[in-house]
Amino acid sequence: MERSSLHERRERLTHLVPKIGPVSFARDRVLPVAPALEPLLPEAGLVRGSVIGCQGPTALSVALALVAEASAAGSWLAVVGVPSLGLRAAGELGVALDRLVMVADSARDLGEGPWANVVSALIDGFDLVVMRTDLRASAARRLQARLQARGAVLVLVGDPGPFSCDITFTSDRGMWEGLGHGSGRLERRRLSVTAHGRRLPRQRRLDVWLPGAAGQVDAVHDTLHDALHDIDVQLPDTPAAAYRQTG
Amino acid sequence: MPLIDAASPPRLVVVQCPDWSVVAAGAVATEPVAVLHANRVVARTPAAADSGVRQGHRRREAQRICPELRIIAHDPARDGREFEAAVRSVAEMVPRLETTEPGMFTFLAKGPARYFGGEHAMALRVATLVADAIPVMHTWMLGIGIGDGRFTAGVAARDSAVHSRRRADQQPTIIDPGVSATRAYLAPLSVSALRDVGGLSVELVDLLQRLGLHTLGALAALPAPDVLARFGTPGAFAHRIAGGGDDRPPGTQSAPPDLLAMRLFDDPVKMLDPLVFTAKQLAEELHGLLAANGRVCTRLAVTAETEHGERSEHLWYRPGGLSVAAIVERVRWQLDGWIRKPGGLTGGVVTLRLVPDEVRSDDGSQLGFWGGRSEADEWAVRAVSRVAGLVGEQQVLVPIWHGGRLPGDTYRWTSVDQIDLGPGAGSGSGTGDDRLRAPDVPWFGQLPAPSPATVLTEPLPAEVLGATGDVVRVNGRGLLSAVPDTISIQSSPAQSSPAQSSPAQFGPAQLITAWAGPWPVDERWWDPAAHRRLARFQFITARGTAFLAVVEHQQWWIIAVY
Repeated sequence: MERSSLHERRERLTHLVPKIGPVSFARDRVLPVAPALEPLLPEAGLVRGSVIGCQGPTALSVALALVAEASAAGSWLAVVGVPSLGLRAAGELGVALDRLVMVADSARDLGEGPWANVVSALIDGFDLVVMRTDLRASAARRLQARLQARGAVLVLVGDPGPFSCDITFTSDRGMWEGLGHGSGRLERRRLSVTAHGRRLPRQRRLDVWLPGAAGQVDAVHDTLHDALHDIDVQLPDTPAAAYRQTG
Repeated sequence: MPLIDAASPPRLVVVQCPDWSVVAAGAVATEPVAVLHANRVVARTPAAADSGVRQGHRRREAQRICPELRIIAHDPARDGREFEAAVRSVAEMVPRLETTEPGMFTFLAKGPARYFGGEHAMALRVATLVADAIPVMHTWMLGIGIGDGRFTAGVAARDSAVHSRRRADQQPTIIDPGVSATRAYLAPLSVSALRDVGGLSVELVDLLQRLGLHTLGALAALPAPDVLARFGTPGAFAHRIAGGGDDRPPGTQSAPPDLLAMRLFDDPVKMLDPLVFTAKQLAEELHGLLAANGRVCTRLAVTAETEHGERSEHLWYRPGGLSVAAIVERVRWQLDGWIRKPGGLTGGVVTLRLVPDEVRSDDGSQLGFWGGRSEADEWAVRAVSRVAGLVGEQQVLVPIWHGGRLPGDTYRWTSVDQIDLGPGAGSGSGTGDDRLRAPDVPWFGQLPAPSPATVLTEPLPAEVLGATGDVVRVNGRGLLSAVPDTISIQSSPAQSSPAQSSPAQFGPAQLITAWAGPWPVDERWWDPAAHRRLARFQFITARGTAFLAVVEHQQWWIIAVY
């Protein structure tokens, strides 16, 4: 009798704990990412105030894929130091182009001090800043503090320089599909993305389609369906199969 | 917490300076001057208006109409700061003066009218005070309207501004008290006053006009329940104010007395920026307190005191509710003007206090649910203008839809001064979407998705060789001279000098593992200067990189990397 009531109480307590804990607090400070990339991030989103590094030959694609969902949800995106950004690819990934602003690279000629002020002004007003950095350590420290106060997310493409990244994504060149020998066209790329950093207890690795068939980022489902796809066998297009793939 | 008496709207004086932004920039009324924001005219002098310059004109348009037009950039901080002097001088005479926006303030008519010997005398006295406070104001005419309720007084002020200017004689427009007199005054006016003065949406006013309700009288004559049923809450509000009723939004209450945010400084602060920074913290605090009760502040008292007892107190009113950004902006205007006033302050500021004076339930109108501007938009647009101030407007770029067959052509970058980033301040249909609107039909000859993530700003010259070591050529019929086998890419963009094609500059040859093409493009053949004839290829090299290459005049270029 005594034991069961204790057990009952524990049971009730375990139900209560998530209710009284600060459940929504951490989530409030997270910007959404595309569902396909969620497994790579410990909070399943971009934590406001964090610095995220993207490295490897396909760093720009990964950076755009990371910010696309938040941009589509209403956040503004500033791009600094990436003049070669492909706007159509960004649009296909889901970036809202009407909330995208870029500072031209020639503005960098102003010098280190004014340039840091520009980045800091962008951090003040934008939720997302994608940047290729060449700033010095002192400026980086100042910006990082600003970032945390303002709650923006800084995504660094390439060498993070003096910034210390909370999470670093490394991606390889990936494997393209669709292009033959004088035939076909580039259809989709299977990219292996690795995430590591101080917010992750151990390295995470994930394969995604980036870009997927329509230019967006898709999860790789290593299922029978895909295995069959690889050897060019057409599966019957049942609604259930379509549902599994999208859902 | 008593509800404010809803039966009779208070008798108010609205003092308005039309085109305040030009006055704040120090322009004389006889000189053609316009203030531009995001390439659009937001304010102009009467001289410019006589030449035909209207609000909303683009820079080019305005300069075409009036070539001698002097153009000044929009600066909200300057507007607020300069207006502070006028408000301060009038506030010494009348209590509880509230500022709606730079260029417009409102106060209760009752007390001051009795003191100055009638409403007419009081209005002229206020006009003198404003003109004395701002030197350039002597050449301008104010709009002073007195009537029951904010809407009526506002309409009267607009009317007064127009008539005073036409007759070159400063005269207030005074509407007799009482609902019947108010209704009689409003009845023949156009429903567009609901938009211009009442702050209702363009869509609603447009709808009313299309339904044949051209005057406020016609709208007021409809039965209230029918209007509510057909047009919803905004319609009911429009109906009420058109009939001379109370124009405060329902649910408006005076704020609970214990609600305030205050900061005492141990060390007196003499600089503006730390004060504004503190104001931001206070505003967030206050906003949090109010939001916890689901309310928003519509009228706020901002008080600052120095160590020597100098004091600046202002009431700020905003019908849509004061967001954090709006509060910070207003504190900046007030303190900037106060600190810079002639003679300056003798000491530093020791107290900063924000006290809500009037609150109402927050219906979320300030966050714009359907296509309106959200707080994030407001912050971003502000940051853009700040960055543009730091590096120049030409350096801040936004995408614009252009259309074309090459990846760099679909969207192009354009400098932010060419377009309206924030849709014309609540005018509903912003041009912000137009610049990115692609036609619904596909662009023929465009490569399908996915598109390359990196579009090189300067194409890189390349050399594509066949298995025999000869450069692969594409003939006019789109046939290849050999199967592409290796590609070598020049590491830096081409110099413009023609003598650059020494093969030593090319990188190591990479094996092509997969390729497709050619996809020919023959563009603008009707225009010899813009005619382009090229063929596109996709390559994957042995290292796994995918390129988009073109061959034009037998020269290979890498234009994008996937």
